[in-house]
Amino acid sequence: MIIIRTKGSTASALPYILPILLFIAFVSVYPFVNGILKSFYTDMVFGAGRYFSGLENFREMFSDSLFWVGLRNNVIWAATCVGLELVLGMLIALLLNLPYIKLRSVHRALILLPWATTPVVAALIWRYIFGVMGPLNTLLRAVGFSNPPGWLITPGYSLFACIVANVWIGLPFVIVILLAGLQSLPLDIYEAASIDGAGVLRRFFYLTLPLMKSLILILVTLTSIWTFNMFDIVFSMTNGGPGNSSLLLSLYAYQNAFAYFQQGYGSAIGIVCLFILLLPVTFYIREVRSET
Amino acid sequence: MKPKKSVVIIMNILAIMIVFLILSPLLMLVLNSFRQTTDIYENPLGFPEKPSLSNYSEIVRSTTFGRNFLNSILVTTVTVSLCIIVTTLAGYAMSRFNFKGKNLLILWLLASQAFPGILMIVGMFSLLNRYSLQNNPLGLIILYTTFTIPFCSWLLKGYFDGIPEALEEAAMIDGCTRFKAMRVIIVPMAVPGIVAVGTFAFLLSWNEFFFALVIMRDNANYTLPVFLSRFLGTGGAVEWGPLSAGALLTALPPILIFLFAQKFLIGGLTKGALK
Repeated sequence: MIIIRTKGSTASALPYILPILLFIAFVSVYPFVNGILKSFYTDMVFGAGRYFSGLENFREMFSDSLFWVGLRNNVIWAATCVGLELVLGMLIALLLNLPYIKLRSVHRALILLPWATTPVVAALIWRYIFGVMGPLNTLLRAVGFSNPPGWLITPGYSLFACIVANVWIGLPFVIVILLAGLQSLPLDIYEAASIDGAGVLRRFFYLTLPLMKSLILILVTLTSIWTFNMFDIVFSMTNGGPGNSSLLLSLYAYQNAFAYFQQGYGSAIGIVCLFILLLPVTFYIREVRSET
Repeated sequence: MKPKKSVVIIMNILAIMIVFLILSPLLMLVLNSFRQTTDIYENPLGFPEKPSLSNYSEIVRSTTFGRNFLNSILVTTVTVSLCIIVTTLAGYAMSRFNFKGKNLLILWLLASQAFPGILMIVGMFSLLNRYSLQNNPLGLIILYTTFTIPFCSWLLKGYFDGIPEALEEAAMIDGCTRFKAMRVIIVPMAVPGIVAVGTFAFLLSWNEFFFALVIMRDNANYTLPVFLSRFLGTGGAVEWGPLSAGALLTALPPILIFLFAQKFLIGGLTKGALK
């Protein structure tokens, strides 16, 4: 009998992994390391080069009130988006999972359309909806609110309006993943529980949630990472305004690096974002790798 | 225990209403693209009274939209092709070989999904400049291909893991090289996974905004998201009519591709997350 070694060595794997290694080395590892290095440099005005300044960018950042505004907004933004997506997503997934819901696969396909929509397109649709004379305020006036706010031009509301737009993009993915999770739950436990007299709420909190714990945790981690780094929505809807009331760190870093030509300062802000994401990322890697 | 008929009807109506509510912003975009800007401003909730295609002809004739559309097509098709080639090979290798540094590679792929865009673009800037990849579609293609790699190679590794190795062993005993066995036997069996990966790469590169905004400097070189953002402007009155037409033409290709491939993509997404 001929024995063929199917688990090949590094040498036989090389032709297969060479392309991915090239891309990762030049477009992932290199810019990552170089980006971190650049945060220790300060850029001079008029493109006159840069000089090594150690931790100066970080020191400056911690006394920069706009950085703290951005950080606070970012935390509110990520927590509210992820929370809303998860709660709404679970409610809608539970509804669609009811055994007598017709057209479930049609619903599922249609619900995912916002997720496939170009984020900039989503941002401009919602900018129109939240406009002073837009559809939302027209509707509010029609039902009796005589003086609805200008959502995008009022400091207390602008971030909230952006959150709604981002939830619209992010919710579909959460619904579809939760729905798939619900559909893979073992039915017999539920039958046993309802024979024992457990009501809908009890079954949800004592069976569904514990059974789906690891899926929900991965989902929270992934959506947190995506939401935290999101740029498109706020840039196109409010550009951080009015008066920086909806400024996010991704936008503030972009403004510094490419409007004020302080790339070192921009990448220092990026490093702070990376540090904040370190915990969810570590958790995500552990979960994904333990399951293979 | 059978639910009451009234409950069945109410829940079904509720489901349809929720789907309609989620889709309503897109429906509004479709309607607005057939209305005049003045009409849109005067009656935000109205239907097109005299539907016309004038917004479409205006956005195509008097802006760089057509050119930018072609840029998006070019960047997207090349990215999708490169992504499929690179991640099929990598996914196969990660599934079948025990090469040195495999764990490190997988670790890096997973972690890199959280790298902030600003860090990557600042780190990449001088290299892009040196090789004239700034303001050049090739620069975007290289970046986008790399961004698709973590998710796509991971998904394909999972697909290849599900295909028994005995299949290519049999072909190799019959005298095939490993590469030929992979191409002729294994790849055709992984077509659903490859379609999912291609769709994912399409959505990512067609919809991406941040890197295109930083890299593309001339109107003629913009991709569609950057064009729309520039057309929207930073203040003042917005030309909602033509903008809606442009936005709809931008959103339509990914939506159509998604509807066509949703079976494979949903399969890949849920498999990836549930595994």
